[in-house]
Amino acid sequence: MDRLTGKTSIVTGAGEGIGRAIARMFAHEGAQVVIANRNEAKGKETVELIKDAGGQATFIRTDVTDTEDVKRLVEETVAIYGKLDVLCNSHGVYGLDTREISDLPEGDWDLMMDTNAKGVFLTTKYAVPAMRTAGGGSIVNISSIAALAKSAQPAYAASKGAVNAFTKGVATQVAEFNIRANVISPSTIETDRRTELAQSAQYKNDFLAHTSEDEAAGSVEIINRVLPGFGEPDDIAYAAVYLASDESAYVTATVLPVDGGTTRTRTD
Amino acid sequence: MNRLQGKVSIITGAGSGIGRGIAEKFAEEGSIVVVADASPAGGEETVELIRAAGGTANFQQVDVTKAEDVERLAQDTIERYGEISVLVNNAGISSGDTLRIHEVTEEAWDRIMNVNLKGVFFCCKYVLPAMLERGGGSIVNIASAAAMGMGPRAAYAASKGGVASLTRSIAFQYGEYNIRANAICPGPVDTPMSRAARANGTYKQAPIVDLCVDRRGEPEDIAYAALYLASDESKYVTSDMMLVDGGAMRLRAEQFRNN
Ligand SMILES: NC(=O)c1ccc[n+]([C@@H]2O[C@H](COP(=O)([O-])OP(=O)(O)OC[C@H]3O[C@@H](n4cnc5c(N)ncnc54)[C@H](O)[C@@H]3O)[C@@H](O)[C@H]2O)c1
Repeated sequence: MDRLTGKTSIVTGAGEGIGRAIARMFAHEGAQVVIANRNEAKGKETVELIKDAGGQATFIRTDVTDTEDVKRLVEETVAIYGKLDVLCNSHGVYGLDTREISDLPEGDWDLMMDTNAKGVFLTTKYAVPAMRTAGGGSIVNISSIAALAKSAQPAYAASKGAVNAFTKGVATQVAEFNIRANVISPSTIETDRRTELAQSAQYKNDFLAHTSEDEAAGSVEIINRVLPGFGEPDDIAYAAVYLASDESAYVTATVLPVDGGTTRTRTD
Repeated sequence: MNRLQGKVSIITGAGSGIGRGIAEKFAEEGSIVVVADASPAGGEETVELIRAAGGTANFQQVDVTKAEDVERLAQDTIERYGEISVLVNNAGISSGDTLRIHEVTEEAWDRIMNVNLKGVFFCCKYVLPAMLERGGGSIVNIASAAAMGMGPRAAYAASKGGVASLTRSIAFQYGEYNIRANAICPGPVDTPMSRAARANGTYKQAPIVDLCVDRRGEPEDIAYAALYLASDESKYVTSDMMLVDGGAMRLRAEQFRNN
């Protein structure tokens, strides 16, 4: 397995869920992986999982909303591995705005925008010069079906819409440096965090308030999807390997849905 | 190299260009490959290339516009290999001109629709029963970036728009049976088809102008996307229109993508 051999990769939000799956898959494909997230215990756990499987990984504590943290993340990555080839933004907050927009606290809006949108801006801002030095690179941003669909989580959707638009804009700017940028657009992926959330009383109340009884019996997303079941973190990880690797050298400024064929909500 | 180990793939138009690139890549990744093409010379050559590299392939002479040819293709493949796991609808033609629609002849329109759209219908029609029986499969249709935006080749774009719509309906109809259908929308790829179009000089503008990536695509660029979509790595992906276009159409396509 050598689809990413020799590539130094930063994966944000890699302490759990989709980010962890991506980090493990990248390492499995031969990349040196920097695990960039806030929670040290979880981040180091991902590093251990990768090392146990014979891969290379390092943890660098990073809050993606903090300029100094992000700057240091890229500097340390280059110091440790000599260069930066791949940036995968897999951090994010969600599940906050299932309530009516008039009840959404301003602080929740800010949190989503800071983390989901500004976090991608900051990592990109500092990664691009390092990738230029490396002679090129690939940026893979994990967005959400919410940005393409008519989502009942408008603030979250807006933060992810920003990611999609930003990615395409950056792609056109940095193409001349041989840097590509693409989006993966997942629908519901079964992660621990997601399961926890779906079981929380508040989520049930808020989310299901927008949902018909039929839909509530299952889940609105399941009904909207043509493939059976939820996606798994590895489904996103495989897409990320494709977009991170040179196999996708001719692919940039695109949005790749990995969403089980979500219908009704998506027209592309 | 085993991302398609154990799969049986039919690839139409595999005697040239993009189709040959896909066939070679699939064989390299362990798939048995049925090279289906109207041209025996090109098809046999692809088979030889695959065998020389240690892969398994055989040639079937098929005109995708003829139902009986396509039905036989499906039957022969089942008889020979027991199943059909992957179908790549790649056979296609381009008029290579940029005639405005009032200048397009009925014959030219019919010819493009027959190969590019009806051919995909026939192949799906005769292969889907085998996939249903098998309990799953992956259909990869080679549409075009022309299906996603505004461009000069009217009949060609219409045929590829039809392929895109057909792909989504198949995804919708067969998802519950674990059959996925996706399209790849290539931008300009360096193949005999596109070289012929450029050589006859009827393009009004160099198609490369609008790209982010400063080159034409190679068949291998499309082959890697097809490999992803054919393999189980994309088991949660269906109804996608995957652009492999060097970042072209970046403004025009958005209206279709972020609706
Ligand atoms: N080359 C490009 O820039 C480009 C861009 C977008 C999409 N595409 C699409 O990619 C596909 C492959 O194109 P290419 O550039 O490799 O072209 P090509 O002309 O090199 O190859 C096409 C192959 O299809 C076969 N074929 C044609 N009509 C057939 C029929 N009725 N039945 C069976 N086989 C038939 C031909 O014999 C040939 O081997 C086409 O669907 C094309 O529309 C190409």
